[in-house]
Amino acid sequence: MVYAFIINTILPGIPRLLYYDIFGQDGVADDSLDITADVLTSIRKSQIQQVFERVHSEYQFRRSFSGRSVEDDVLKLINDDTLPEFDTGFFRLRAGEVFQKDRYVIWLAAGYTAFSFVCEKYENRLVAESILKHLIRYLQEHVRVLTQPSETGLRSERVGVVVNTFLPQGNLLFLNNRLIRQLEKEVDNQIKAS
Amino acid sequence: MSIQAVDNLFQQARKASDEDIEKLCNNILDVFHQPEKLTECTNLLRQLYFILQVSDHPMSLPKKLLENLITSVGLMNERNLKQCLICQRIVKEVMPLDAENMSELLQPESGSSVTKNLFPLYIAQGKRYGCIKSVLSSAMRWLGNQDLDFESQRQSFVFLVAVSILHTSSLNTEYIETTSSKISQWLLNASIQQAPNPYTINPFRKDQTNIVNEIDGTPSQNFFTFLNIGQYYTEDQFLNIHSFSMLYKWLYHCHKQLTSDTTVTNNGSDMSPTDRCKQVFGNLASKTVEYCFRLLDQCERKPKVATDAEIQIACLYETVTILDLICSIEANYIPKVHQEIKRLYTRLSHDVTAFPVIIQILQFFINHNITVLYQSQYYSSLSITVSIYNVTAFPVIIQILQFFINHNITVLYQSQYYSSLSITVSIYNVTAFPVIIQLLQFFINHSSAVVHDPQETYQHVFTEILSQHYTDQGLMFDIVNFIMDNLDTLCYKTSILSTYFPNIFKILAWHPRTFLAEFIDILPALMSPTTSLEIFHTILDLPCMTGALETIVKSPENTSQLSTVTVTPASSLEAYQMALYRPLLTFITRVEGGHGDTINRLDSLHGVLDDLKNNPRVTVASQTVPVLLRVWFEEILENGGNDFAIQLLPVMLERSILLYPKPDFTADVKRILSENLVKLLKKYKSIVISQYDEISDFLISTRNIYNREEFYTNLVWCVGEYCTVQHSKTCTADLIAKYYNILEAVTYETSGIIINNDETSYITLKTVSVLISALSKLATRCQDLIPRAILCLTKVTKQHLTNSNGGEILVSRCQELINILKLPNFASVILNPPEEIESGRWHKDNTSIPILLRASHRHLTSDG
Repeated sequence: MVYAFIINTILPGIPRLLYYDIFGQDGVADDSLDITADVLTSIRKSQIQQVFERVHSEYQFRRSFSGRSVEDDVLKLINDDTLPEFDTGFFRLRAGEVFQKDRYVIWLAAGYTAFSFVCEKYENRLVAESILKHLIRYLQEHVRVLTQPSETGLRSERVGVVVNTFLPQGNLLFLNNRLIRQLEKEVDNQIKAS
Repeated sequence: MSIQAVDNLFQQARKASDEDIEKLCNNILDVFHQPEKLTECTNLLRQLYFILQVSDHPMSLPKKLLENLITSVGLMNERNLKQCLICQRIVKEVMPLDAENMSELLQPESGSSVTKNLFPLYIAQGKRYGCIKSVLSSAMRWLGNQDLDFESQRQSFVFLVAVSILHTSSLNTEYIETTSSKISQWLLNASIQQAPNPYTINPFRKDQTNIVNEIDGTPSQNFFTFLNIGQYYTEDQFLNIHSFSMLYKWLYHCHKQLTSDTTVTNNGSDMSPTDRCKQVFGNLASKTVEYCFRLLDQCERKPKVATDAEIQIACLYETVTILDLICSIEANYIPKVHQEIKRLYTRLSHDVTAFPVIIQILQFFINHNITVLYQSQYYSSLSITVSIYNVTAFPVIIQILQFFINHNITVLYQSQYYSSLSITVSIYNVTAFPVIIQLLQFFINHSSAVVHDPQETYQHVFTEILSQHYTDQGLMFDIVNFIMDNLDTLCYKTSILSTYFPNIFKILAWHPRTFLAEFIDILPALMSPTTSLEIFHTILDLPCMTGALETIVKSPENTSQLSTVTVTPASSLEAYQMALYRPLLTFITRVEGGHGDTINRLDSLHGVLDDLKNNPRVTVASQTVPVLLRVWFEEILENGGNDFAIQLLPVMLERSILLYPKPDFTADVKRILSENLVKLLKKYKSIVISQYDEISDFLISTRNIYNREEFYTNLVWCVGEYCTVQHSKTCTADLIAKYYNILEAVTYETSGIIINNDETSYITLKTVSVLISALSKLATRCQDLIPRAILCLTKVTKQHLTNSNGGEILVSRCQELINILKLPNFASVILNPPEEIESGRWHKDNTSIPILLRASHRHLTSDG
């Protein structure tokens, strides 16, 4: 189960959180009522922040020697309307580091935007990567997430539809090419609806 | 610019006051139930959602709004999905709810279709106020109801799996049993017909009943899996896909729950965890194996659409992991599964895209190799015989080991048999010597058919895959995880870590920012008495390894003959093409360890990699070195032993100057070496005496002070402190005198250098100060030397009387020492205090010398 899906801006400047969705719970004192809901919300927010800041730092490290500029990526998108090549990375978050449980993060980034999944330790990283790519593809199609990141924050209902279809309640599904097409159509219809 | 737009949005959202939010909420409430204002409502909702997400403090929503939001989530359907999803996410932002809201707004209504839409909210609420518990029974009812649509069953199933992951202990055996039997059905009984196109309504069309295809386009002959291709998929096929996608999580968590919870007894009878699993999972294990085997089969087909090849690999990765788990749950599947996995390995071992799967396969081998020995009929006969005979265990094991040695079986097998035998011994607490030897003979004759030696797979992963794909972070992530998960096995039962550590270090060299924390854990396991020194060199040269890897990656592949010219290369890339330098780069990126040392021409290597000094990857790699060095020294100081410290000393003396010339890096490393030199000699004090030759050679040359003054002075301090008969019986007056001679000579020389060169000198007064303290200490241990020491100190005083650059400090230090040395009996106590001085006792105990001295001093001064 994917614990969280996060979209944030990356270079240049301070990374900004554009969207996140949390599917599980971190197990911080589930039963204990000593911790108020407000505290839990704050913990949640700070965990998300720690994750995307780490993604930002990993991405900066990559960029420092890749020789590709952010503008290249965006230009390519605007001119050719093809997805740029993504930087992809994985890192572990050991129990107690950010979350109570052992988890890992897979991230993909290009242009102004980075996308990441926080996964349970045993989650299949190949499926995670493939689903993350599908999400990006359809988010670009429906909210121009790579070229106009500000839209992502505003058109959250569309983001919601895409995420709900390709990552239903945080579950990574094995999807062959026809299944993807079927879900793609579902997304189109749901976004068009009303 | 669009990134600017994001910043502006952020500022606006963050500025929203409580009043703004209240107003926004009221506006939403005004338009919420007006269908004609749907667009306006959606706009307001997404504003609210954005503010909730970006604000850095928690907010609460008015109860009325919360109620409306939750109600609309409950009524979610395909037409209003967009709006309902955003409502759902807004509610999730303010969850968990308090007791009042929870009981009024989020109570599950049994049988109502509202409940299934609220599952994500229940998950977000968690166990607070008994939420999960009350929903679980509803979900179970939904799941068991045959008349219900697949969609509802699927949602219940997703909810149950989420509960199994997040609140494992909430599931009782009954829940697990029912759900498992449903999964078995869904896995094997999905329809094999394609669904009609839901987007065309054609009443005249003939009802096509197309059978789904295999991934290569041929019609399917077997049961449905997610690798079957159809134009459209039916609901029950989706359920099948969900079942497989979530199968591992379900099995893993339920197995954990069933084996950990010893309080659960089934029908009042005590069952072993294995039997309980067997009963509760029912036929899920066998159905899973069947499904997985079919997938393995399907993965051998060549996909018609290229992108499906990726999903095949992901599928194999998952399948091997699931089968591994199944074998842990029910051991009798091992022989059958083992065979399949072996076959798979043979098929995949040269397929580059399948490398992630290989690591999963290796994990399987590690988990189940030993168990294979116990399989089938041998197991029962062994346990029966063992329970008849009753012999003490210890001598038996020695006999068994002797047997292995006599029969010349590889080390790997030895350790495996050894551990399996010790398991037997510990399980049954009895062993039958003659019978076991008979049985072993039988195993050796016959088990080769079953036991697979994973050595080949190990080698494949740790040599070929690692050295050719270190740039693939995903694959390296898998290998790091593999090492971390099997650290004990790898460390104690195989020689993988000690053999391939240079290769393993490539992971860090290439991904220094990503895997440092993992290497801090792995490092001690890589270290053994035979490898530690080589690892020390490897750590110090990590930036060079990174540089060399950068060079190799950037070098054009397989250019013709290497150049034999001997001119200095202009760049690292050029050096790589030269016969003179290629071996250096090859050495630093070697696959196997075992040299125990580094190369002679290390400085040439540093030279050719000089152009990469500011390379970002090399920079980050060099920043990891101090961290690793600290871990390395901690381990050595804990477990190194005197002999190792003796080997280490000359290496430290050598490497304290021989470092990759990157200013921050060398400064950090030198500081750590200096600190740890003192720690090492403090722990193994006798080394100062036994390694006189090494140390004196180093100290006598004042050139060694250049660029590593701290290291040098720390060594001088150690000589002054630890060259005493207290720490080693072999310390003689002669040896003390020899050290004294060196220190005296160096004192004159350094003092002279400072006076003559003044500000340009690379030696500071601190060195002279440490030197004179050390030689005074030595003099007190061999009192013949005291007059010479006083003379030396007097000369230094004279030299520095006119030195205005801090000379007065040195002069006063000399004066103090001269005064102390003039009273030899006191001097030897003051300059050679017993070790208790460090325990702090000296400053507390009323009979200690400092306290007595202070007291008598007070008496004398008050009298005067």
